[in-house]
Amino acid sequence: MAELLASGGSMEMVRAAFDNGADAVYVGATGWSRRRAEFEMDDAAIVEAQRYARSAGKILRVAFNTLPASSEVPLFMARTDALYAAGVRDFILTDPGLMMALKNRHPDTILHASVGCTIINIQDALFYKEAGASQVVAECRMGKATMRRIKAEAGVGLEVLVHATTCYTLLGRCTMSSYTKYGHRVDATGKDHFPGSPNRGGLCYRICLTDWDQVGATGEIEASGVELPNRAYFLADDIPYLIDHGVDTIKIQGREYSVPLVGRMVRFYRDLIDACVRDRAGFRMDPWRGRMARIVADRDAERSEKTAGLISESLG
Amino acid sequence: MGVLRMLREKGGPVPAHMGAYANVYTHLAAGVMRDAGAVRVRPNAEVSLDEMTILAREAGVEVEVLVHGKIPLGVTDRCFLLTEPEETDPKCPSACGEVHWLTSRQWVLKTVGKGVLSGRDMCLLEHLPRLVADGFRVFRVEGLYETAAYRSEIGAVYREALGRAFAGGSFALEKRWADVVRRHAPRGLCNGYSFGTAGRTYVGTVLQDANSDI
Repeated sequence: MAELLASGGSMEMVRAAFDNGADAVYVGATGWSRRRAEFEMDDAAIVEAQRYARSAGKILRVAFNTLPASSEVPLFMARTDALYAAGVRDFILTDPGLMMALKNRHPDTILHASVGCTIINIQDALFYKEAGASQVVAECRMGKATMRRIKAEAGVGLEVLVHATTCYTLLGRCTMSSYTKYGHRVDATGKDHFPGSPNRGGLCYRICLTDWDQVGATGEIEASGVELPNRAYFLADDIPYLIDHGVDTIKIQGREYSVPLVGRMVRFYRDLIDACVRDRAGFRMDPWRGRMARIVADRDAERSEKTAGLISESLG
Repeated sequence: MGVLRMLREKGGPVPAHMGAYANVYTHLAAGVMRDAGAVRVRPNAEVSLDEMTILAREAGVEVEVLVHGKIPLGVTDRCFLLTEPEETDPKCPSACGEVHWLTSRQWVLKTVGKGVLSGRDMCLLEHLPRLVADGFRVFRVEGLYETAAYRSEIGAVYREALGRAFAGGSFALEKRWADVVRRHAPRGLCNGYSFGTAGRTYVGTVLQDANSDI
């Protein structure tokens, strides 16, 4: 049975996600996950979230999925040591070196390779398995044939994002934002949040989503209003397929969305998955489309507002 | 990463060099690549020179530094210069060999269809003595999607400048070097993330005037 994993951008969101039927929730350690600090959690909040998860018999995963500086590795070890001592065992990482280091230090931790690893084929999946990951997140563009092959041959868990965005570039392989604006903000623990770099600190100014002109060698405009597509998606039709093929985790991304919206998304997917599992042969997608369209419209409105804010912030 | 793994499975028939998209940011990641058979890594573009110095020292693997050329900013799986599939679009394969910029506000990028490069040319010419002193020995002039003249002229400038930097003593930028570099950088110069700043900025005292607004 596939696990439903949802986002926890705040304690309130963690509760809403679990209460609406998530089997697991991920949160980001402040300064160490692919979102800005307001959607991350300090250690006290992580421990509280962990307690809530445990009391409900569910799982909390902690993301340390940015790519730090070499000099920050001791900070990573100290912080994961503290969380380990508080009972956290589930971590989401990107850097294969950090994966190996954490697994060697605490062999009973459970490590998942983040979407930032850009895993697009079975060889990539095997690489991260060897680095210590027991589960890998499929890049948003991964096709079904590759998913099937990883499930059949790689011997590693597979996680698929059903609510996320397909970046213009391969996710995790883009520095367009930090090319335009990039700074340093060192917090009290000594961790740099690298604002402007999604890979390093999580704050992406989404400059791909502004209006671009394509200009030729001599300065002539070849096309105006060129779109560098970066679309949010909401997959529902594929859910039965994912369940049939034994995908281990169905993930809802969205720490930066409002708590009520995340709650509705989690409830939608919970109900859909349960209905599908209850009566696989009789399952039809059509009755779900109206409810889904309302969620997608609200999601798109929240996203557009956020994107406009980020682009204007990048100009400041 | 998958390709590196395949090479190892075949007994490491070629010495592997990891490119910028291998996303090496830490010495620990570089160490994993080394143990998997890589003999050289080029850290991600965002890694500063200070960070690269630590990475090279701690990882025990050769580090390649991009000293000049367009910075890779993004890679994707579909060619955005084409309107039809690659097999049928008459613009393929010539479109990515032509010059196409993407401009918006004060930003300029270069598109090569499946990749986005910086609009400005990365240039570390005036900083070569520091790179040599820091212990770097492998320097890359990025010639991808550039003309033969770009490669040969910029390459010759760096060959001469590096010779002088390695000889020690005083190092002043020759005017003819600066002229070549400027001539080949229609959208201006930057030195990327080398000094911890946004990629499009130029840190230095000699060529910053070539850093045009657009």
